[in-house]
Amino acid sequence: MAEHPAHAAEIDEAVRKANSHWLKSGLPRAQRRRKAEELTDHLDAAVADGRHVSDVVGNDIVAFASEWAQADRERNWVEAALFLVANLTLWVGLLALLGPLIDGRERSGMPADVALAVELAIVAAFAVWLVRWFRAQLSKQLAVVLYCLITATYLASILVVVRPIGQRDLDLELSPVVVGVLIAVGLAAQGLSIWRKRTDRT
Amino acid sequence: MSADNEARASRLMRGILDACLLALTSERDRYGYELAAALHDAGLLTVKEGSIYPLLSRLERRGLLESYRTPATGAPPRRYYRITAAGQRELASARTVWREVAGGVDATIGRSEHDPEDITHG
Repeated sequence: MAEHPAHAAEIDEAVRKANSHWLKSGLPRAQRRRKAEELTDHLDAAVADGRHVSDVVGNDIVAFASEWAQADRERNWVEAALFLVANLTLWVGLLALLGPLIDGRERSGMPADVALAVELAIVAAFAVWLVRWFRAQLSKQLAVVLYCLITATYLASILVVVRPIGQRDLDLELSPVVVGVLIAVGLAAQGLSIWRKRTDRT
Repeated sequence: MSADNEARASRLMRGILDACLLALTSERDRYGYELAAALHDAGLLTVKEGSIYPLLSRLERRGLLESYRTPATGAPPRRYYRITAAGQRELASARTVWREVAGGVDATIGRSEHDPEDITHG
């Protein structure tokens, strides 16, 4: 470990940021632990040799962490597929199930503006996730611009598209069996994804 | 080295850094910091230390390297990289390619450096 407290804190902070990015990227716990251990070991040795943390990871720790995580991309495609299946099926199933509750009326359906706002939020979340996915190929500035664009587009679409629709009904008529299957598939995909992240597979 | 030259050196290294890592691990098993230090000592100063880790992960995934964890004295465990038989074959192939390319580039650049007329007049 770095002997100087300031260096130790700097190393801890760099590893914490990298680890946080790997966690958000969906890297399995075993891989996160392994990478964090290896990075700490390297930074300790580099600092002991009189170099700075930035000499190792550069000035953009997220870009560094993202590039390293992408080296395991083969496995992450599986995570991506599970993520898509889990979210699409769960959201559609839950919208169909909870529509009448949100609507406040007895029949099936939910307010069109609420449904559209939720759907746009899903699209926006997916866009954010895509930017994070390709973070290693983007400069920090470009990533910030893209995040701002996504947020601005979402807010603009709420004002321009969603608000004028108002409280008209948007029926999402699915049979209870279909809704049940969608939610079950979504939960299974989500469970499988969590299990993969928690299982040691190095 | 100027920023432009550094960027050129970095682009050149990108295609051959994997072979350098294979070569270093073919001498003996090494850990990440050791590999970075060896590259630095060899004069490859433009290689960013952190850039070796994604590459090590890819080499390991392709079965050219394998890693193992050993406890270091008085310190947390350390991960070493070891070249595989497939890695040795890849290294031999990379060496052949490098010698051809480096020889050709050197002959071309070196020739124009000594006598610019050779290039302009064929």
